[in-house]
Amino acid sequence: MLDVTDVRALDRVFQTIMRRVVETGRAPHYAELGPALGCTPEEARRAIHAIFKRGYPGWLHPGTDLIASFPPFNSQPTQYRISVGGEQRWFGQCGFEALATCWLFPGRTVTIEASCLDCGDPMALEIRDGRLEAVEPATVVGHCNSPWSLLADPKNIPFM
Amino acid sequence: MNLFRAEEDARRWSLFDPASDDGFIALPDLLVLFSTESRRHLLDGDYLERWAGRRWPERRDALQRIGKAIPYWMPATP
Repeated sequence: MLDVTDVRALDRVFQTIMRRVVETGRAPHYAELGPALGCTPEEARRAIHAIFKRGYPGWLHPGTDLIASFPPFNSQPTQYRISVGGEQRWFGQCGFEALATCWLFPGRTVTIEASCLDCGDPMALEIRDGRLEAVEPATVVGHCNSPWSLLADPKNIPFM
Repeated sequence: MNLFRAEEDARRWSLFDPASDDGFIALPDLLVLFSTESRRHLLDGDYLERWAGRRWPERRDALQRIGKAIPYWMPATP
């Protein structure tokens, strides 16, 4: 039995999800988690909801139990394509979280590629262990279109 | 939260909010903000128990360090 009020139990679920995303580029369905965790699919489903209710800033696709976002990654594709070792398998939750994906690949160079929302032209960044190794063009900048302070409220959409 | 090729691109973006002037951030500052200690422990078995609660306090400290301790960026909750 998996007790969703026990943070240590939720940590087991969290690690299983995060490691699966790192390995495959997508978050697992709750039914896939049951066998890995030795719990029922329903317990795994409730555990996923509990992780987000605790304030972990990801979300389910509205009206479903499908993990759409598990930061710093997104299971649902975004414009922030993440490559490691020349393989593009991941997506960043947003342009900011994309930078934090480097901490899931210690000692390796993470490449972030995206099309500019204004002109559609490409941008590319290379980051290794929190250090910017390359950026093209050099003028790339981050922008938060609504106050970041509001993002502590889960009703707000982080992509803007 | 997005990356743009340049500030001018963001300002030309069809959904750009003119009230978001304070929302620009340089890449080196963004890396400070997204390299806080808890970020380095996402693969630790006790992440939720030990590290997740540190995210917002760390974020406040990082915002201070990069000179963005202003209402636009600072978390409203403790």
